[in-house]
Amino acid sequence: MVFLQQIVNGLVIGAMYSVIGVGFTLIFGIMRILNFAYGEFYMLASYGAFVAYSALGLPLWLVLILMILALFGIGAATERSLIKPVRERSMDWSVPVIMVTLGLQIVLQNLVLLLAGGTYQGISAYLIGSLDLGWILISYERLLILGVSLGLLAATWFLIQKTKFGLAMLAVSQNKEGAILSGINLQRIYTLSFGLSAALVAVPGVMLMPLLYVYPTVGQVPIMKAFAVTLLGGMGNIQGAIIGGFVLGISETLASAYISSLMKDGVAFAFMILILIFYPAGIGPYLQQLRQKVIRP
Amino acid sequence: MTRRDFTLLVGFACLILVIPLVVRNEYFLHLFILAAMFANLAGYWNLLDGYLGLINFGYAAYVGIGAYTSALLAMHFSLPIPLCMVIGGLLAGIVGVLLIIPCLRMVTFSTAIVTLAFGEIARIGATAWTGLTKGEMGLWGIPPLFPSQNKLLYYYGCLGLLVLGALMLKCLLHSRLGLAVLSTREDETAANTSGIETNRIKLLISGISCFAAGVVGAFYAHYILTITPGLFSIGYTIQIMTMSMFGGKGTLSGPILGAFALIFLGEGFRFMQDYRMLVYGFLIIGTVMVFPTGLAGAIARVKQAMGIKRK
Amino acid sequence: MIPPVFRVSGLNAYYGDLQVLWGIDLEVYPSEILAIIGANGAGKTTLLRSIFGLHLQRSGSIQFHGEELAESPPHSLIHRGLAHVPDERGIFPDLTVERNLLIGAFSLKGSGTTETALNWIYQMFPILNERRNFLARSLSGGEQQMLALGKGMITKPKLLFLDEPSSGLSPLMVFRLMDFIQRIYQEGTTVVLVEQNVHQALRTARRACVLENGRIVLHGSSSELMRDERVKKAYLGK
Repeated sequence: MVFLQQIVNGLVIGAMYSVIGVGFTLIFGIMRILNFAYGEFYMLASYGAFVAYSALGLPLWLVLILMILALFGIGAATERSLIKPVRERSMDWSVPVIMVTLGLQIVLQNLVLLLAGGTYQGISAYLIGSLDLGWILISYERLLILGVSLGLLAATWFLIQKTKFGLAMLAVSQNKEGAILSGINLQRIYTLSFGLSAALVAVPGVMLMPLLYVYPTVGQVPIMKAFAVTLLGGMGNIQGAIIGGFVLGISETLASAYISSLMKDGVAFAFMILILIFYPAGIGPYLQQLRQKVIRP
Repeated sequence: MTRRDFTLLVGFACLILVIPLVVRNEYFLHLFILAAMFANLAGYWNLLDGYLGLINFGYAAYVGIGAYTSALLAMHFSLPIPLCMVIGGLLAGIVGVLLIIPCLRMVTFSTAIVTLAFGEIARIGATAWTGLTKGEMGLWGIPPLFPSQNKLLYYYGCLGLLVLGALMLKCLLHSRLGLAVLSTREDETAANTSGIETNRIKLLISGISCFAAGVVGAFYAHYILTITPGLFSIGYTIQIMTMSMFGGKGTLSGPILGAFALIFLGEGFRFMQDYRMLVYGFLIIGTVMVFPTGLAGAIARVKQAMGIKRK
Repeated sequence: MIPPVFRVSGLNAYYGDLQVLWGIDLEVYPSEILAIIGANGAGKTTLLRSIFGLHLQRSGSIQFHGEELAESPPHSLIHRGLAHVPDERGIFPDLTVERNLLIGAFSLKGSGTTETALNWIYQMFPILNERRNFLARSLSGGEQQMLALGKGMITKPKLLFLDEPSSGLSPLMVFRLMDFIQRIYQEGTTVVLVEQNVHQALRTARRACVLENGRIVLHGSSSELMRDERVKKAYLGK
């Protein structure tokens, strides 16, 4: 059944979109900024994965770990060196910091363009072969992507809900001053969250490499998805981002199959703007309200 | 305005007016025209961002809408070109306002994302709608604004637009409307309680800003005579934004200075053609971290220092 | 003479170019309740925010047990035993009551200690126990104030600053609030109570200062101040 197949494919890509969205919305929730360099973190992870996997022949699990650690470091370093000085300059630092990330995005993209050239590189797949379930066919590659995404989302959920660090992040995102007065080190939370955000987007950077290839401007794709998912799910809303990712993935796949693959990206955006007209704060908060009503009618 | 300020302004104006007459280099004139156009765009972007505080990341799309609308009207309906330009601007302005309407209810920075998304949609649309826009191949054969290929006319025409625009902005900012705009930026809730309808202000300023972008886009179309969907791309928005920031956000002269500075510096370092975007990136970072008041701010500080020395 | 446990000397605070606090000198002695009273806009909240480093444009000395605090980062104050319940309550609206308290206990080491502290607060405020899994935003005004207090006290701070805890509360709740403050004091915490409700503040506290236009204009025992003509006219409406 073609429709079911499309849904399954949509779920797989949607899971990655969820991861991309969570990393982006996390930083918005905690620091109230848009990280324009987010796509470039993905790009760096892709290049790193290509070098590590293709050129150095390292196994995938090792590549993943290395890229996660590397991007965590890059993210944390970015926060301390570029963002911190701007934050400490005035109370109203959201817009200047966004501008700095934009500048960083341009610098990273063009540096890589100059150093590595603009050719598309990539590999065909990490895993070959597919699983035939009768009604649907799902490649092992897709299963891997789905598995890794769900695992990562579960790990992130655990981090936020069950650890002290996660509690601190939640606190900062809801009441900065209340968090400070409780003894939470704001600077440390900012640096670690920024690193975490970069580490999160490193995973799609590695896993989607066969699908999106590796080239200097590949970062445009994840940042646009991040924008869309974040808006859909509600700015700063992590559950919303998870749901939004799946919604986007499925609607994109369906649009691509039944309307036109050229307009795929355009359709996703148009869909997003339509939803926002009725739910200006995204679907996340609305879903939370529904949940509240169910728990305490 | 002090005596000294006035003399400086007159001097600068003379320079801008006279140099093209003296230096008859076609390419040089072309740069001046580009600079004047970008100065317009940066100025109107600044109205939206520096003065009102509303960031529109899809600004280039309005330039594109104005350009294509005017070009197509002139080509298919043979309407007088100034009329086409105005209609192009109006369409851009209307689209701009329509897009902001749903954004009014949204959380901060959602507007930034939505406008960026719209810019992308517009670009994809312009590329894909080949029947109308001829897509990637570009729309050529656009009738020129000034029949003769005399670049001087274009230059003074653009300067005229710039002066007109600057005067209008100055009047606007010194009026009650201007005060309302600044209040909205400073503290929206307070402004609302004081009876300022911040939503209407946002719509009005967006309309003005996007209309102006459309007119400049139309001017460009009837100057360069061939346009492509690349006009809608975010790269131009970033250029405009950088010029505004580098020149001095929130001032009148800043964007103009920034535009002229970046266009001519860009050409001065011709060998840096490949590195141009890289330089823009560093410029943005540098301006925010080290140089937040931009060129205009630096000049103001120099003037202050000189004034103190006098005493 | 027992030395003060907390002392502010020559504290100035600014909003840009505008000076809002002028040379504040304040002393807090161990085991007392000190009230800081004053009209709206007198600078009471700015004073507390300046002490805790939430308002950064300040100069002057802030000493706790002889140690200078002005150079320390704001998040370190609670580790030293100073807690602050701000006037917007400082609670986390989309987290449960229990989570709010857990964050209040963030600076405590060890899950055992945290568990004990949590139970202690639930004992003091049974309503919080009932509502432990409710989101903070769904609590009533009085309950939120209790949550704010519980969160402020959970670490058994040596010095607790309360910024207008009675605001938005019904007279009955205010009464109960002052009762709680007495109990906190009896448990060994020194309390600095910033209040607009002068009558209640002077009844609860033993000593008080009056803040007017960013300056301390009067200080002494509560009974003295209650009899003072200026205080009576300006704040007690007599």
